[in-house]
Amino acid sequence: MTYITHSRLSKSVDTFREVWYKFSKNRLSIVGLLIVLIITILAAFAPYIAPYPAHAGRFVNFPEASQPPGSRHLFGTDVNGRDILSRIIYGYRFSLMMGVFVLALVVPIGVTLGLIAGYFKGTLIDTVLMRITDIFLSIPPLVLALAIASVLTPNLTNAMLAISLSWWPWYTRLVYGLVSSLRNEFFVQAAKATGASTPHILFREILPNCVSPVLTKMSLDMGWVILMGASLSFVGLGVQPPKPGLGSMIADGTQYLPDSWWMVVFPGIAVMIVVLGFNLFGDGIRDLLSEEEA
Amino acid sequence: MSFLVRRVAYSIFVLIGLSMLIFTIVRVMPGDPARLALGARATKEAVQELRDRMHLDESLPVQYYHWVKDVLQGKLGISLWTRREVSIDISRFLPATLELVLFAALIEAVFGILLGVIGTRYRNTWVDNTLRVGTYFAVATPAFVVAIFLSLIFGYMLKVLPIVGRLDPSVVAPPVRTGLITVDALISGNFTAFIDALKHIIMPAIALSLGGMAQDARITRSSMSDNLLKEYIAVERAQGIPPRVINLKYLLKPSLIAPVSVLGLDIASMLGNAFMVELVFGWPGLSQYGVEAALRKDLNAVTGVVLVIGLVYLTINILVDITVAYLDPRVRLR
Amino acid sequence: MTAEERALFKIRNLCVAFDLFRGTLPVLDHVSLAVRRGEKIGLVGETGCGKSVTMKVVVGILPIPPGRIASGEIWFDGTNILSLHGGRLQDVRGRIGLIPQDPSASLNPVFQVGTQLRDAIRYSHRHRNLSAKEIRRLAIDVLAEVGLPDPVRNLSNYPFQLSGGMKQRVLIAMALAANPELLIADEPTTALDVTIQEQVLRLMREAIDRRNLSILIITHNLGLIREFTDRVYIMYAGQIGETGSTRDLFNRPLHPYTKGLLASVPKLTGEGVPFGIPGTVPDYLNAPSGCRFSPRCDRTTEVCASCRPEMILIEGEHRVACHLYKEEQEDDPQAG
Repeated sequence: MTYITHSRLSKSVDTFREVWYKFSKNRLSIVGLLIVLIITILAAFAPYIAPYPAHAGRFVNFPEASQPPGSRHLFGTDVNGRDILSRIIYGYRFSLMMGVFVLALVVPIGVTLGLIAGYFKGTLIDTVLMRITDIFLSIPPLVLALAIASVLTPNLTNAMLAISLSWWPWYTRLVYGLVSSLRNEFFVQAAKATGASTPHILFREILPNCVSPVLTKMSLDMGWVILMGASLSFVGLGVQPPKPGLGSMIADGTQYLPDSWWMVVFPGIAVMIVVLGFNLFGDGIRDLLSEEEA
Repeated sequence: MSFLVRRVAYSIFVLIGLSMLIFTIVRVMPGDPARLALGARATKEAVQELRDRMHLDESLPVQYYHWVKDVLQGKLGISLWTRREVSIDISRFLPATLELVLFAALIEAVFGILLGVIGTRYRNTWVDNTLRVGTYFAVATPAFVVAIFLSLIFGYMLKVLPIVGRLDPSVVAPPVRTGLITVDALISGNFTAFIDALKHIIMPAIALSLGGMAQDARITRSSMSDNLLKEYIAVERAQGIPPRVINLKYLLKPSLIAPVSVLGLDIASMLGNAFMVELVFGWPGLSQYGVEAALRKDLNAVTGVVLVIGLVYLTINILVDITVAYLDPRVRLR
Repeated sequence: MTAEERALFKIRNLCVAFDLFRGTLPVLDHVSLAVRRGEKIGLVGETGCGKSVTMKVVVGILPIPPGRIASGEIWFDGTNILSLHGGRLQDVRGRIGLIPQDPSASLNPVFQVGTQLRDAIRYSHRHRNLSAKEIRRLAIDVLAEVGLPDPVRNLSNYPFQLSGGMKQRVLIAMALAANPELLIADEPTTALDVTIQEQVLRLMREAIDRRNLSILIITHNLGLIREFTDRVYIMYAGQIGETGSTRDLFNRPLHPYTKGLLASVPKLTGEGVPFGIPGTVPDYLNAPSGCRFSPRCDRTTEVCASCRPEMILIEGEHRVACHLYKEEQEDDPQAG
């Protein structure tokens, strides 16, 4: 494996075309990319794409309540008469927001902690940091997120916070493992010998070599974070009504099974598709990046 | 043996750390838990009395000290919601969740690895490709969605399986021995109960295990295909060992290391997902109790549940580590 | 019967290709070699010349897609291995023992050494229906034969508990336990320390003499060839360039590649820096249809790249596949 040293970093950034060529070799990854793109567009332009944007908020229309899928409402309506398709589109908005927010928070913190702990392996810093990480990892992330979300006021922001607090240790652990092995490699010793400062070594020498696994994990994690968000809102701890969350839509609809099945089935499929999309996309990224290294 | 001792000691340490973590989280919550528990109409004196009893006005470390003292005596406090001892509540609900998770873990391990082996055996054929696509879908679907779909199809539409609870009210429940109804039914020879309990547990268990099963299948398959290319397999073939022996023995054992190691994490996610699956199926388990407690901000219950789940998870991880050590001698003898 | 016809083992005109995404690589091009009873034969070439592929085809571990045996025969004691299947193939293969290259990668890390050894014994002697005790006895005996200290204890050890030299001994034991007639040693020195190499080679030589075995050594180590072998085949890019007795080859290398190879070896005497061979490793995707060394040969002619040179007998056993030696050609009883 060739290592990326500071001076080679800029040269190792592939041209877009080459990256695309490698990525597109796997058909499933293309499917994933398409799904991700479509959902992103839906989320970004929700007010323009959703047939009934007003239904995503406080809205009642009882004459049209509990309608099965039909020409006016492709996915039917819920008990308040709100169009389910529109609410799903807005629900995607919240899901993506959640994913981006959580990762934007978790990745820098988790990676930095992992860098520090791994580089100073064997010292007190390492012990303290990794023990704390282990403690956070000692219960299932969903349980931790539930516990944290439960003590805070239920809303989207707090749900994101809760998920972030349960998620950061995974990145720390990942990077810790990478750094522990990398720090003994020659290029690190060389940098030290030429008097490079520790931050330089950490962020300019070691970090670029961690980018691939971290990026892979990030693309896969989007799906999981969205899943966690849906789970939290399923129990009522995420997006609060009347705002549409995919999980809460499913929870609401469960009471009306099996007659009004569309209230549950379509949001359920919606969750599945978004997670599937990110999983496929993430796998594609992983194959792409590991192929480059080979 | 020292390996085991080290693991257990470390787990205890982590458990203590966990207790501190959850304790801090729960106690720094905004709002007054005592008032929440007693309701808006309670008198100030009543609230204050409860606060004193729960040591809520003292500093955090002191609170922790009191709490640890109680825990070591087996007292997890009074649930502010059910008004019962949390430890009693937990012991009532825990077996149900354990039974569910154990069943799910069993299904996941057996079928996950089996599917992975099949995928390797028929790799690059339509069987393998179908399995691959299937695993993608299975992994992407949240457990509670699977739960709802299953109950929709088999419960409501086809009406072959019951949707709620652990046992039909018309069936005589077996005497409680382990708390796991299926096991208890078998022990007491009550086959009607056994079958009925099985019918009740199968859907939630599948819902819980599907994602992990797909994950295991993928990992087994990739681990096996990787090992197929390893030099020692080629050498064994060159030495005349027949392919069947190689596949069932020399290829299988090293390939199991990866999926078993992941089993611990899978069980963790199962413990988490059990919350929702129990909700969907009305399964009277710990997770349901925990969610209710969380929604009602029942400090003691939440703390107790988290702690117990942490304990269960750590125990399972130790068991998984032991199994991995059995499979991979390099781990145990280094 | 000619010498060749008496050969215990011979490969005739073996052509092997790899069907890859970027094209078909014609890795082996009409490779022929022979090993007679009791002979020690060397197959020499640089990394990537196809000698491992040859070994894998013989031993049966070439991954068949993408590998493909395009044409040729492999004869062992009068039977064409490539036409056999199942049990009969297994029986013939049992008479060929492989000593693999990298001892650390060749033993299954999660099984005890004894388990693998006993299975190797059980299945190579499957017709004899040995009891477990007999198998164990055989295992201990063969481990002692290869000089492994404390054989009984080592049976229950795992590979990672053994040193490189000990692992190599175990692998040799596994090969010998099947009572083969032909050994194939794949780079027996490459993965070992120099001091261990010496011991292992001595061990192999003793075993060969004691059991009256033939051996085909695949290597790029010319010193090993010189010390160990009776006859040598020089391979380049999937073609056999030259063959002859070790002495003839070293005294009078004919093929330009052989000459370059011998000149590249650092010597303790003479000038310091050895010569290399100009050019780069062969490109199988765009290989010339003739002699594959022609792109790098300093004496290449027009006909070299397009016309594959036949093996020409020069003298005794010394043959070369090179257009430059057409005039010296003698009548070859083995030609055709």
